[in-house]
Amino acid sequence: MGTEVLLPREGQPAAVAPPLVEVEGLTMHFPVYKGLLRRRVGAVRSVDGLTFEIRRGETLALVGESGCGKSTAGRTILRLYRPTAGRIRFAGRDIATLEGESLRTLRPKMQMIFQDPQASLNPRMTAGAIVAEPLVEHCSFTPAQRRERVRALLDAVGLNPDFASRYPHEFSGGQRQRIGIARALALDPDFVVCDEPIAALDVSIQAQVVNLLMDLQAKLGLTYLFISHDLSMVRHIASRVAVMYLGKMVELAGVRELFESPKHPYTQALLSAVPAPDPKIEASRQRIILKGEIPSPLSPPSGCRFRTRCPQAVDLCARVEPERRVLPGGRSVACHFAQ
Amino acid sequence: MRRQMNAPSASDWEASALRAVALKTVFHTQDGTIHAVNGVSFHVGEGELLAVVGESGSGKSVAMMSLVRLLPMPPAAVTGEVFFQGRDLMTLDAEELRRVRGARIGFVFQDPMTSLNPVFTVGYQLMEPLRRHLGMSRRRARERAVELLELVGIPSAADRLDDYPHVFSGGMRQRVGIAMALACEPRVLIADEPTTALDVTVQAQILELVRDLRGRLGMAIIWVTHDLGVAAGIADRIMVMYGGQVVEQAATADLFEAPRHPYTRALLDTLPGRHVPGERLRAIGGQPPLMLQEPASCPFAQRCPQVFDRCLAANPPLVQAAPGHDVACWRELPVDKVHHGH
Repeated sequence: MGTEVLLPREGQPAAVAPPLVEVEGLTMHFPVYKGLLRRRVGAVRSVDGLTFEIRRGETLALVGESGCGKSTAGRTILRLYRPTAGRIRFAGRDIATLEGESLRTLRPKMQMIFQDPQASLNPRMTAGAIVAEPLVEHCSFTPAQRRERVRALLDAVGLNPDFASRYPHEFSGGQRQRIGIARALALDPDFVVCDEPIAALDVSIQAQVVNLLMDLQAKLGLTYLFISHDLSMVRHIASRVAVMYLGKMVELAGVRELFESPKHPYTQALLSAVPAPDPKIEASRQRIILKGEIPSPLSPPSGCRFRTRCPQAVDLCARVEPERRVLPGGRSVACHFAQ
Repeated sequence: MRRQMNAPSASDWEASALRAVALKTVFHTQDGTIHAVNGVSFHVGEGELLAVVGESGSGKSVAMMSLVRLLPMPPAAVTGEVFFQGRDLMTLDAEELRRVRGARIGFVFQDPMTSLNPVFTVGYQLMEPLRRHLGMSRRRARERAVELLELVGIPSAADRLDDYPHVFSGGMRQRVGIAMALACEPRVLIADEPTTALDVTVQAQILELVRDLRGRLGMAIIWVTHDLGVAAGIADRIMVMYGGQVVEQAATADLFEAPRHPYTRALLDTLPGRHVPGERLRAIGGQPPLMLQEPASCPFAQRCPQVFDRCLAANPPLVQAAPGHDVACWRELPVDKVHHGH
């Protein structure tokens, strides 16, 4: 069902909006232990030195293929992990090393929507109890106030408030995702990490959920980190896009600049690989077919991590890791040759 | 039966690599009966690539599995006719059917790990059908297995024969899956969402491979996908399924330029690329049907923006709306054509 009652969407947030989330040199390595003595033999370098900011009210998309570290980055920013190195500032405050109670009091402002609503909703709790759980944990509502808030939340995500007593299996995939969204919104967050929120849904249901996310953003002034591999949907809803490859951010640009003139060879290949639902475009387009597959993040290639598959790689790329450079217009790219 | 196919032209019949007529698959479960495929008729021509497009639950995979009875029966019950090389596959006994499946109709699945046996080497699994169906010697089969792996673009193929499936990456495994399906040079290759589990750059590699193989081997391909972009890129013709039925089929360019069924139109309309960025998407409201009964009305009626009383009273047959373009919608049916199907 649609949610036509919500307010019309406002324009994209102004480029000058102050940052809500600032990430600097964010690094997340997972140690690997092996052998009888469980000695540390290395680390999976999932996220390696990410630097970017997310402006208040914008949707920053984080894109890349499986294993590139985009989900780990999102979870680390929410402090579901303790980062190996780097800084995370949320509303001006460094949260990278917070622990215990000070971290807990921060949680209501930063929430997450998961990919698979089937897996992220407890099958033994009713929809109402699932949405109420954060309220129990973080608010001092009376049961009556809580019930009222749950009804309002279900209504806001386009579910019938009378369905609060039903269990997750009684809902369809799209409806379950709405329950997950209602739960994420329960504590009135400022920042929501959407981790592949539509990947598990059918095409005809995806649009319903994306509309809901856009409506809620306009209405509640939410800031999104939208993690996705669906580039056509990213193009539709993001204001800026960060592209990751093997733990590194290779490019960051406004959504239009990125899709109209990608600078990094990986971004170029990625965009050219997305099938266009238009036979005329498909028949005429130039495809960049990459060789091989993503190397292991346990032992990434020296120098530029993309060099083993890059059609433009030269000796320099194996020796020197390209620094992130800011190009005119404010976009940035990590490639020796991009301009 | 209820759904009538247009009388196919003689040339259609002759050129068909495979033709299904009034295919119907029902699952009898404890919770009731699911009508997964409801009278589906279609053909794929020699050398043609037919894409079957639909959402989960549209019956597209079940229909393809039903063609060669790959479903466990019971709970599944399949009726209809499937003509392949002059015979009705529905009348074959188990042994005859096994010969057809292994050698003349190849199958590629979404997750190659489900079709590869983890305890045998890739080489063994490639050689087995060659020896069994084509009677090759061990040595000849091994040579052929190397050729097949080279054909699907696996580097240093001879060295990889003794590897087990788990050491291959997802994309490489799918290449092995395709090599296995091609082993005995099938006349028809059925690929069920073969790139859905893969990353886009790897998907692009596999699609490129299929374009290349088609040119070289010339078999007919049925490619099941939910991705209209994939279908646009490789298909000659597209068949759209909804609620266990074919609602529209047309040449690829035709379907994208002039879709006739409201579901096809809605599906194309919902694509983000057809919107101004940031605008609300034109979503299809509601949910797909549950198919607990044999449909007595149009399966899309509940979600259709153009629904009228007739759509709820009877299920529209698939009829030709323009040359090579069939649609099952009461809005597309001139009144005088209708009675003859019933």
